[in-house]
Amino acid sequence: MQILTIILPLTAALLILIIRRWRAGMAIAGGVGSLIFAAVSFWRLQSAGQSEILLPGLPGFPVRFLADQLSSQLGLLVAFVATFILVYARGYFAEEKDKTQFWAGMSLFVAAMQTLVYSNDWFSFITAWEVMGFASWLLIATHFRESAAAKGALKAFLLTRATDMGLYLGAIIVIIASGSSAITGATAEIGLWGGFAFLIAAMGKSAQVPFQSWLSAAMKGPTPVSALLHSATMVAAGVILMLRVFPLLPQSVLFCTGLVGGITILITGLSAMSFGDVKKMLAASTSSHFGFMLLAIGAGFPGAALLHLVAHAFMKSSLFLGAGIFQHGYASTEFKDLRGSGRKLVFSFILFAVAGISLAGIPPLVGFWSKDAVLAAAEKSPHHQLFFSMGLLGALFTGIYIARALRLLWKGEASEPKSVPRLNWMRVGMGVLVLVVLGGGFFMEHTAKLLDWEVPKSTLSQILGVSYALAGLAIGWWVQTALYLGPVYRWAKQGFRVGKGYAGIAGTSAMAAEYSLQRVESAFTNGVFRIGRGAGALADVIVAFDRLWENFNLGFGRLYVRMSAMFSLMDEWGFETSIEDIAYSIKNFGQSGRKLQSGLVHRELMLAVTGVGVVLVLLGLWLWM
Amino acid sequence: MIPLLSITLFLPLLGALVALLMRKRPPGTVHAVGITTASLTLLGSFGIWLQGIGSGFSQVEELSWIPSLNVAYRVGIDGISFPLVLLTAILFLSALIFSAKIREKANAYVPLVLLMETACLGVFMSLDLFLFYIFFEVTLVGMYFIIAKWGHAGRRKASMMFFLYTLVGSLILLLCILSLYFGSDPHTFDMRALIAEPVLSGSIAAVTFLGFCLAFAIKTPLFPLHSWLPLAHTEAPAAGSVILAGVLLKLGTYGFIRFAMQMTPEAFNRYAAWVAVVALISAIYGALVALGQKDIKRMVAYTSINHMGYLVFGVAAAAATSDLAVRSLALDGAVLQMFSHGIVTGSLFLLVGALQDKAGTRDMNAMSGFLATTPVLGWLFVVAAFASLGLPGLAHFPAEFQIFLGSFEVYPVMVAIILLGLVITTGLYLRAIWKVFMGEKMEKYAAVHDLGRREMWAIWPLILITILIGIFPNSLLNLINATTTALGL
Repeated sequence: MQILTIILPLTAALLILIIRRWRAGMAIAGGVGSLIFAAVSFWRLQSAGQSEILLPGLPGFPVRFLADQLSSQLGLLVAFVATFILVYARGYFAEEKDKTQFWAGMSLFVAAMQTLVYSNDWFSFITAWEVMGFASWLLIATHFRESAAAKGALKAFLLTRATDMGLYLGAIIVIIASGSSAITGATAEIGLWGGFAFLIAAMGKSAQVPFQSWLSAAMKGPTPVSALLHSATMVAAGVILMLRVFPLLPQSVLFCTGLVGGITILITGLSAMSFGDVKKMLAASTSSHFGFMLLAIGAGFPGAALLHLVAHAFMKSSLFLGAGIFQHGYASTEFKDLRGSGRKLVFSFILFAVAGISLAGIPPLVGFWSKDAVLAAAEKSPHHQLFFSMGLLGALFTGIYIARALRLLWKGEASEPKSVPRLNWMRVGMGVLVLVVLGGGFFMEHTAKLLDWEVPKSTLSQILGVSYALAGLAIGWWVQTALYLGPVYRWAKQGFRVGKGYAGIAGTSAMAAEYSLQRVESAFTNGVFRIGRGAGALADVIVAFDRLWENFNLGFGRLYVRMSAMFSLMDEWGFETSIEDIAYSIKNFGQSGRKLQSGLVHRELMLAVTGVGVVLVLLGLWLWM
Repeated sequence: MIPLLSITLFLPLLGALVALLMRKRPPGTVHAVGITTASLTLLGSFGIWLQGIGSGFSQVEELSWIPSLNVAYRVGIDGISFPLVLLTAILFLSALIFSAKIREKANAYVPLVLLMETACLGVFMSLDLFLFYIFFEVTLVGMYFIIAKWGHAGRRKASMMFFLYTLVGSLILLLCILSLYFGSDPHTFDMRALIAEPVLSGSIAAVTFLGFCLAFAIKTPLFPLHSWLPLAHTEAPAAGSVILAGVLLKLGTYGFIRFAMQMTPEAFNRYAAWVAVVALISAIYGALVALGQKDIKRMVAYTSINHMGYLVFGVAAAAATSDLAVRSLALDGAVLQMFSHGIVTGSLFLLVGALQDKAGTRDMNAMSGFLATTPVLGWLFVVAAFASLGLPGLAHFPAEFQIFLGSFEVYPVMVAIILLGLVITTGLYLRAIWKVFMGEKMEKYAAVHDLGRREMWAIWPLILITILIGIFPNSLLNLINATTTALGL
């Protein structure tokens, strides 16, 4: 069953690529199919217990897909949220046809997320984790002709890939320590390094401080993509990783996890209060709420984190889908262009407001229950002074930025929105998700009971949480942001960028490295050519020597001709022969001498030496006589 | 049993002779002969696969040749060499299809490429040092002529550089082979005998090992002996680059495993850390220099140094450990990496070659919007680039993951550093895609056509294999693993 939840959306992606027709229909069908089988798998789990499927992977490391409580709840969540986002996207892209890249990318994305959810071995987990990153790159770059979208995609993938190395290291450490690639049930001493490696990976994927910036860059993608990325997929992967490795984490790593979560709640909460763009505001809020989940994990209560993950998925996807409707009406996501737009698009505004107020944590909406669990976890943790106060401040901040957004969308005078074709597709998609936000709270209790983990409860945190949220909502609605943020306002507006941000830091250092390496490279190349030229020069010397040698031999040849002439003369003196004979023999020897010159070197030499020898013998004889 | 090994080995040579006889025929006919021969050779290698490959040397054929020197024609195959034979057969077919556009002296080009194919297959199949060396030399000469005759503008400089380096490398290799020959008793060139019982020990083994390292580090190439590679790659024709990166570089890494590791195991075990450090530097250095390139083909060329760095790193870790499971893990990764790198880099070079044919430039700053201008070319490049940067689900990841996993137990800190290479290659490929393929279409390329039939037939199979290996790495790994676990070093 769990395999089919993966295969159906994957098949949809392939068919969209191959057939290139009925793209939206096939993507939605893939989502619905995944939802059906996730439900079947969930139901079978309750009746028949958990099941695991083994497939061949690497030698000795099979691929495992496990349907346990965690994975089947998450699988259901992913398929549900994704399906209705796809329905919404059918309306969102009504005016843009043949978006093969988008529809195939969405289906691949869902398939990858389902793989990650059901995966129970590190090989397939990393595969799903990174393929999802690739899919998000594809989707953010849907409008790749625009430079901002292309750059946003690059930034998102590069930053998350860098932190993914933490996942590689962590997984390697676990596999070596436990001797198996299975995720659940591994008993291993992974130490501080292993724990921190996993934490880094989760921080990157879940956009925690200081890796939060890729999330706002990713806002250049289409809004359904943002809705999917920020709710049940992509960023959720980081928290799912931490839930899976929770039993292995040492105490100090847990504390750091909570600390990172707490700091992120505050910093990105401040950013969310100051951003002038509704999508960027929502992005910062996503980081902040994943901070809540890490806080709960750090406090030792993964169950609370899971509840908030589920609730947040519905709330945040609804918020993004609402923002997308405003975006369609006014062709902008900037608050300054959207002032008062809520009065014109009242139905969408109400849905948006319900999801927002739920996010702030007002009962009986779903966000109240999950945030209460997180706050109770923080209160019960050994570091409760720190964690609990961070959590409460986070509740205050959420209230402020939600109320601020509602104020900016409601107050002021707006022009009539553009007519939006196929608005109903968008309304249905969003409406169903908001229904869950409205009613989901009543099932929270039941869901929590199914989990293997304890979900804490506390009256104190309920009362304090709600009061902080209400205070935040009041401040956000009535007070201008610049007033209470004061000097922090401008910095927060830039998302607390340090220096020129990662692009600046990495860019400068990479350029410096490139420059010096280029010089090393050319030094190498020139060095080899110098050797080559040296060899060439040596060759010249050898050639010169060879020519000398040749001349030397030629000289011998000439000498021989002269000697043979002399020999003939002696012949005349020594023996009685006629003048004619002399003339003939000179001519003859001259000719043979010329022939000899062109002969082989050694023969020439031998003849020359013989000739000299004969002359010397004759001279001796002559003197003796 | 049919002597499939010899048939496959000499089929391209036969094709070369046939092509040589067709001096008067039009280039199209000559190319048809070349492509048919390469297809039959690929079929032959599938046949070898079907005949069954065991953990040791299988399908061995032996014919006496020079008995006085104990030289014989010995060929055979195991799980380490078979993936390379398959790779060679696939890449030569793709290269021949892609270069079917070459009209100038086609009746010299096709025979030369086919001769190279026999030589490359011979290197991987040889079980005799003498035979190995002959094939090894032929590949060098063949490549030299391909670069010097059919290369781009700077081909003279490039071919000279290539020749200088590889000449030195093969001289050293010859000395090492002789050292093995004279070290064995009775003297033999039989590689099986030399592997079964390492004949050298002590300082002679160390010197021979050093020689192997030098010879194969030039071929692989490793830093600092790599400077022939970027030049040769940039100037070679696209098909030449495919053969060079896909197959010829593997002669070096194959040598590291077959010679350095199997014939001088003790010395490799002692000096493995040094090799690992050099490989680590190569991996990071190659990635950084690739990041600095503006020429897209040069960039792809430099990433080869990075990938070969991972590979040799894995081999060094395998040589250093005495734990059999760890060793086979690292070696599995290294052998699969050879195959994956050949396929992925092969397709990248073909795509870049097609891009250069269309755009008339390789300067990344001068191009933009090719994803919109030539969508098929663009998206195939995206897939190949993500494969090269190690995206799971594509060919490189299973190999690299096994290398890192296997090496971590031996050199944990170095693995943590070498992972940086993955991040850098991610950056450089994303930047290349961003610059060349994304953004607005350029007016001057409005009339450019997308990939044609010839290019599709050459590139698509490589892309499909990339995905196939990524999803089902077991299809090759089972074969490799059987051999690496049986290596009794």
